[in-house]
Amino acid sequence: MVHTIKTQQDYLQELKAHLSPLPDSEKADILRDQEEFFREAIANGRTELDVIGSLGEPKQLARALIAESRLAATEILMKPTDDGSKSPVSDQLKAALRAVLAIVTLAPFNLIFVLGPFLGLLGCLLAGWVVGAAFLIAGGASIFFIFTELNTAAASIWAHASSVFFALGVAAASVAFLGFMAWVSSLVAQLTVKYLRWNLQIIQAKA
Amino acid sequence: MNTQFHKGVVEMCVLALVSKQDHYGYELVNAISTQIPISEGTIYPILRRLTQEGYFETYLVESNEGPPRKYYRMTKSGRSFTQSLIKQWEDFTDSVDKIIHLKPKN
Repeated sequence: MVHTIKTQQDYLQELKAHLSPLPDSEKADILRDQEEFFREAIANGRTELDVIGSLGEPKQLARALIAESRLAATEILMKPTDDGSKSPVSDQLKAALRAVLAIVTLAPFNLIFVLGPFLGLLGCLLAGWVVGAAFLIAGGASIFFIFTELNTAAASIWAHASSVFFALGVAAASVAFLGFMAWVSSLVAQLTVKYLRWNLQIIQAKA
Repeated sequence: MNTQFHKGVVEMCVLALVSKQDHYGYELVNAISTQIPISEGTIYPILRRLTQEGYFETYLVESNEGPPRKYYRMTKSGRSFTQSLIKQWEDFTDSVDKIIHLKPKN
């Protein structure tokens, strides 16, 4: 690889550019740490070039930091808070997706090992949610239509009892199914994060 | 020893050092990279992660030579995490030792 970075300033500037996906506060904190590192190393008699060489490519350092940050953010989101409540499943999945993307950027072979399977799982989850929602709407709508079609005569309600109960059953089953989907979605997000943590360790051990 | 082996233990070394006393980044990098041959760049992401996971707290201390230094201090959860890691490590090295020094049966 061609080393065009000759000074601390070049290094920090390039690192900053590669850290752009992170929030400003986190970016500033990372740059502060690296500046401190340069300062201490130079105070200990090392040259800027030596420090630059020991830190590795800024691009690679930035990718590692971003992947760590995304994964840590997801892990924090997965942990129940002190009052025992959990973040919404949709937030968990969104955070997991961000972590997946960051890890794919860090190691492109993860397109095959991580992104593909993860998108496949998301597709299955989406299908489950759509089916559950469709049945819920169908059940709810049929109850509504049965009642609006009726002439409110008590007798005719009994005549339609079986359809009413059937529609209620469909609606109740779909609510249960949606609850199950929420559980499965959260599980997928959690297993994804566990897998990513392991994957990240392997990638970094290789680097 | 290969690099994969080194990197796996770096996190534990960082935790062990901070569990004894508070350190700033360069001290930690220096203490580890003089003993274990790894790229110095790998330690900062580990420090950030351990902080984000709540095992470390950080605070700034004014230094004589210019801007303040960021120190890392271990939290309660960091302490129990470190103890469990070291326990696992000791169990593991004990087992490996036993295998290495196994006397052949005659």
